[in-house]
Amino acid sequence: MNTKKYKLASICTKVLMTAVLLFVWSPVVASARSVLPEGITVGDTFYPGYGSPIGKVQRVKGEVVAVHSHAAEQGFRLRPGMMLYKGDTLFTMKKGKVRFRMNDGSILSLASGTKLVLNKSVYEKKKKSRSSFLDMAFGKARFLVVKLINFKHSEFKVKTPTAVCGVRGSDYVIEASEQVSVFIALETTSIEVSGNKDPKAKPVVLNEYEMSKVYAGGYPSEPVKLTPEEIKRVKEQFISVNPDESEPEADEVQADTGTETGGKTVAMSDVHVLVPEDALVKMPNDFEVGDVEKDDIGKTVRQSGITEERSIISQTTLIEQFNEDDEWPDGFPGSPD
Amino acid sequence: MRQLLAVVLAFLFLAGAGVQALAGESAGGYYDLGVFAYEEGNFQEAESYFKTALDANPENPVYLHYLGRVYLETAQYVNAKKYLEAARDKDPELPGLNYDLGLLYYKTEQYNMASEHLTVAADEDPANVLAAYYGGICLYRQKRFNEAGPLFEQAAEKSPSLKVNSTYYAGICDYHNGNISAAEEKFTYVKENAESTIEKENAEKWLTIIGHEEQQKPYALEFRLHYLYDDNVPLDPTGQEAVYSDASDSGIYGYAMGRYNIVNRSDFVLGAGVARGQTWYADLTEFDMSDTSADIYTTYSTRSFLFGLNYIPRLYTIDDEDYLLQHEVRPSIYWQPNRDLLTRFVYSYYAKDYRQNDARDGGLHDIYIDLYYHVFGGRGFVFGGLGYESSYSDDDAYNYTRPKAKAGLSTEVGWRVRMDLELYYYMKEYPNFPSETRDDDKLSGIVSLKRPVYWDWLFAVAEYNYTNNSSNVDKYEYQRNVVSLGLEAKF
Repeated sequence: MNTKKYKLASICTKVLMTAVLLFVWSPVVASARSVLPEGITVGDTFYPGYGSPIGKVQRVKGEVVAVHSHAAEQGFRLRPGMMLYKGDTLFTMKKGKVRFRMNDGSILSLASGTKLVLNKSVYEKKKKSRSSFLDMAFGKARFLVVKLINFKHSEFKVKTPTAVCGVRGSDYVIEASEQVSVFIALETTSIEVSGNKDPKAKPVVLNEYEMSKVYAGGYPSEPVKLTPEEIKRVKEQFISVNPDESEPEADEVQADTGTETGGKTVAMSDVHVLVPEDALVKMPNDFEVGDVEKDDIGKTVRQSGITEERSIISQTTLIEQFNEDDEWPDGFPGSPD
Repeated sequence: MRQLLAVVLAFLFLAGAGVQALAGESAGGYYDLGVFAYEEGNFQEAESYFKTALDANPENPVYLHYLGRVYLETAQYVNAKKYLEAARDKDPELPGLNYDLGLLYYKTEQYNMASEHLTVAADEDPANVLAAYYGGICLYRQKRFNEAGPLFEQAAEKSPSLKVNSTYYAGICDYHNGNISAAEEKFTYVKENAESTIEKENAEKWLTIIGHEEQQKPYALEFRLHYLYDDNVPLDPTGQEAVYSDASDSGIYGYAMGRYNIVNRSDFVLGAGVARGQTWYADLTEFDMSDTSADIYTTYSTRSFLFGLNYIPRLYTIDDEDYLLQHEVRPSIYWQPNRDLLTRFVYSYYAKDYRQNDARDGGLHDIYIDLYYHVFGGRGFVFGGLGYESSYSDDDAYNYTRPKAKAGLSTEVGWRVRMDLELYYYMKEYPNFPSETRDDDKLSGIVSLKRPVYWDWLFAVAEYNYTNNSSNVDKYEYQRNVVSLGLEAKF
């Protein structure tokens, strides 16, 4: 009898979780949201951000807008091949989707109705260090994070309004809103989820095909296993994160110079780097031509004539000799008469 | 009992390890939130998170680094130094740490340490254009132009927003390094591409400076007219019976010089000039002197060296009678390793013909090594030198040797007044002096003040000279004070 009750309870729980999942992942939720804040002007002209690029857009569907941190009121529509910079905020509009590659080779795919801030992405191969911090205010995103073997320091953290998720190398999906964040670990993945309310609490570990939710002010729920159908449904909402899958679909935005595909890390060596104007050391404007010319000690010394014997010194020497001639001891050979 | 103790100890060890692990995990949560707060510019919040993380794991170099960065961002440099240096002590290889330390030292004007860290940061990450740029600025401020130039060029090449500014500083470095054509190219670029008026004007000023260097004036004219008072014109001996009832006198000193460079290239000069100096005393006219000379000269200069050769015939007269005709040949080498240091090695040979005493005829070898060094940020220079003279005559009694030294300071002291302080010391020895060896020690000091009046080519000059000669032969001991006021014109 008890076994029957347990089975019934188990089935009810699964049905309930599935219902919640279907509700949470309904496109209606996202499309109902006004993704782009008011006051942002959107254009089609790309302009680079400050510092080195930290990512590069690979594929775009629909309308996706990027805003640099130093120009918060001016956005531009993303196209494949465009660079992404530290502090950039990405907005995927209704039916908008984007896939981009970070400088460490990780691939991110955003579903429509998403806001993601690229807070930081430092990848230093020589020092064996990777540090990425992303802030996902709302929406849905899939992360295929490159696992870096033998790296001394590797962190890839995503913050949502209710939780922080950390991995070393995984394929996972996050859906975030003000009220709840849902974390789903995909193939051969292990991720850690902590609630923002209590940073010292032990994180919940999600393994392959497990899901956990974190409500505002709450702790991560116990992991729940998802069915293959549920997983398939989740994945369908994103542009594929498979690095080898580069053929654009019919409704994808095409790059001006070809779709950006392939490769593992973002090449930055040939990219020009902008810096904020206030970083420049202003040129002094109070110097005079003569001041600079005096600055050359060779010229100063030669022009001062100080290397020549002063006339007063040579005169004195001359009078000394003159007096010697005049007053030399009597009878001294050669002395004048 | 022992088994029980072992079990308890094992338990305590495991419990301790567990607490450690828990501390590490809990600190990680605060660290994560700290990084997000920091990246969003919420430094107060970030500080709180990192401090909590460090409470749990005080040795973690990443936490120390981030807390140091928070203090660097909020201009709390003492704290920033504490945490950034602590992070370096734990793990000097932390990504970005060299840049942050460099920036800290730059902001606290410790340019030497700053340049060390920033050059490493620029080398580690060539895309970090600000590391190269600030590294260049720090080296520039230390006047290490050789090292600063390549960093400015690296920053200019990689960053369009640094291009004009960095090229400007790179041009100054080229100028100071003697690469004048490269400097000219850079200043021209800045002049043509700068957006602000100040940047354009600065570039134009530097192009003017370069123009002056390339078109060196081929001639020089100089005139001096001084009134002087001399308290011991004939060098009457101190404490001895005076030869003259009144050894003091006033007079006029006049001087005129002109020269012209027949060949006037920036690296090679060949020219000739003449000069005449004349002193007229009011009463002691028998000590009126003149000094008439010609000068045929040539110089060849490279980036750091200048080689010179002069031939100078000179005639001295006393009381309108020829006293000494001498021919001087003077090779010299100037070495200037940078804008602040100059050394000079000069040798002179004098062939002397005394027109009233043939026994004194002969020659003189004179060598001198000088060193000049900028002080007061280039407003002045100090100098010092050592020399040696060896004079020989037809009659050995006149032979002498004279080791000598000089030291001094030349600097601007305000109101466009230039002050020169000079000290000269001579030790003269006549080895074949009649009856005994004669040793003289002479000390001479000069204070000179000079400032332009009305025009840049006209100067008012005031000078004071003190000379004291002590000798083991009493009658050669004397003191002399000369004060002069005058005008000088230089064209």
